[in-house]
Amino acid sequence: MTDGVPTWEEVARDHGRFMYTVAYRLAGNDEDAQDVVQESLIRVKRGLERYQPGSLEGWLARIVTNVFLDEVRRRRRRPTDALPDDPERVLPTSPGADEVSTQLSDDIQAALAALPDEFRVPVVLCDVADQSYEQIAASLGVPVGTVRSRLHRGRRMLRTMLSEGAA
Amino acid sequence: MNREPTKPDEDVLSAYLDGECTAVETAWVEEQLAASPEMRAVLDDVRAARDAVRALPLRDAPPEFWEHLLATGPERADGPVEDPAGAPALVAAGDGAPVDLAAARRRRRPSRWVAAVAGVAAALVIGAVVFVPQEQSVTPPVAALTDAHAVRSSLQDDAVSALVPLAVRGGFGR
Repeated sequence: MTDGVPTWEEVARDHGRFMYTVAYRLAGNDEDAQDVVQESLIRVKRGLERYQPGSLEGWLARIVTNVFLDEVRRRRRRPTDALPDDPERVLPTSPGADEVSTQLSDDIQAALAALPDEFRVPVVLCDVADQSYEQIAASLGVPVGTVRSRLHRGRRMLRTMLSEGAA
Repeated sequence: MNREPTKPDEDVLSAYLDGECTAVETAWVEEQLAASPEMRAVLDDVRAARDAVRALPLRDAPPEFWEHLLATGPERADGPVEDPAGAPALVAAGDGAPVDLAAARRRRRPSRWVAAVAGVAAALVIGAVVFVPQEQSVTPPVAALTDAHAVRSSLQDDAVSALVPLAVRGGFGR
């Protein structure tokens, strides 16, 4: 680390799990999450020279989000590529010791993945990456009021999906 | 923000939960919650959804993903960029050349010819193990053979051989 600026290897070692979690919650599956993290680390490596020490995880969350949304746009231009919108596709089959807890996590992940991007992204940035509304607004290039509205609607949709799933 | 809501506004409930309301908004929300069971129900729903997502565990990538990445580097890091975190994403039409994650995936995986070479090498190793003659060590059952010879000799009335069971067995181990 030089002058508070980490190397990309330090970022990968110390914050890789955070980056991967954000990527996974956004993308909904491991394959795409790995691609997002790999591309994000390329951008981290290229951008470290200009990084100003501060909220490193906030900076990383923005990079991961941008990579994810770039990929969403690219796939929309090439609709033959699968989008992670199908909950059946994104359900992780992770064997766990606590099957009840795993099933609950899977249900929440599936509901999250079923949200449209414009609602899922603010929810993930707020509730997974722990970003403030202002940080989310800056990441997405939208007003804070839009973040507030999309976040609320996203949570309402999530709640409805989880209730219907439990019924 | 000095917004003064004049009618129930659900959006503000999430902001209230997240501590993102102004003092004026907070007062308004609390007044609404005290008076309206519907608002309380909505707040409960939003809180449940928020808590569910926040309770999701951290996700681990497979160990080989990090091993490969740290061993080879993320690649394509050919120069500094303006601000990799700065591009507005959700509403922007585009921010330059889009990434191609399929290409990243191909970079991360060994190519087919590498897999083919690895397969041929594995076959050669297996062949060598199976087909090359191995030196075998043999331990003859000396004691059993001696006894059998003694029995056989006794039956043949060989006086010398009949004494074999009475002899002390020798060996290089003494």
